[in-house]
Amino acid sequence: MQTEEKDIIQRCREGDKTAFRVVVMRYQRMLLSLALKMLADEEDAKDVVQEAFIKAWVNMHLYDERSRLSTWLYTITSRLCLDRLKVSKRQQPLPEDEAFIRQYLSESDSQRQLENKDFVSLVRVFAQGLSEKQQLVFTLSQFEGLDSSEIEVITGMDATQVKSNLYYAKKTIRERLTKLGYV
Amino acid sequence: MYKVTLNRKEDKNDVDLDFMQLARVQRQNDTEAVVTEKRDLVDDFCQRMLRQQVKISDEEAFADEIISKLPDITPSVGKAETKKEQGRGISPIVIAIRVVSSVAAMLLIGLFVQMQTAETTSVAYLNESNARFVQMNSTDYNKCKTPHDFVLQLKKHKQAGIRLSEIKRIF
Repeated sequence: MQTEEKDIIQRCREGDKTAFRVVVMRYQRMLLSLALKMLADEEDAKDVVQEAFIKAWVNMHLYDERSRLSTWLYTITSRLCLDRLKVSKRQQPLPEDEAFIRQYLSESDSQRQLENKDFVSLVRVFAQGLSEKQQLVFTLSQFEGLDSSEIEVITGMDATQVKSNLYYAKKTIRERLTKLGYV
Repeated sequence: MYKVTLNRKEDKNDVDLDFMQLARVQRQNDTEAVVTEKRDLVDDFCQRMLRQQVKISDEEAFADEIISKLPDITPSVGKAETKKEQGRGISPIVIAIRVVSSVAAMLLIGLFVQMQTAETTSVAYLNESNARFVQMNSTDYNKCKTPHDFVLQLKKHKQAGIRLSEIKRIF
């Protein structure tokens, strides 16, 4: 861990909110990305991100500096997302969700920047048929670009479980992409 | 998604095409489209998604809202809150029950000790030759007003054979 971040962590542990604001600014988009792609609801995702940062603040003395701060924050956020998914019903895809995706997939200009509502549409469609764990592993691996070892730490799964969940998630999504005309 | 080499009279280049685009190119008479690689649909799709980022319309305001909700902590309070968060705190009811139980136990022990103490009393008396000690029930001992009473009590406690004349002093 860099010295600068170590210093920030120490100040956070001493109750320095200004130091913690640096952490928030640095990682809020990262956590919102995960939460949005898990929950398919922007307001729920923002709630989870707030809750995750508050938990991190209160439990900063428990953070083990041998792992990356991003990993620890991802872990907290993942668990909150899974808790939410257990309690609330998954967002069902709307007709306009599928229409948007067909249009997006057919575009040759793949440089177009998506809006947050577009991510919501994507997750509503592609999360259908996935378990929460498959969705989490797929999101961390394919959408957040994390490697397997980090995913194991975040999810608490072993390598075989991560691989298995990723395999079935990809299989389901491949079938969906094919049905949507993406080849 | 397909990696395709497009061969034309004037040039040659490598492009990425989807199925519809490939089909269109293959219909062109002046172009030869050679597929060099077919990429996995999911990998291809995910590559596109990895280039995307979610947006926070006002990052400063979003962070400020989070900071405003943080509880004030000191290292010791933080730890206490954590214990509470983890459910290891002791509730007042539990504390009260423990105190009452301890007091009751102490009272019972005290009562028991008193009873034990009341049960027997070492009574010493001197006879001509030596002092002897006998165990006597305290209640009975307290009934003794005279040495004669004492002898009667001693007999009751199976200390027969003691004569009044033997008792010189009781203490």
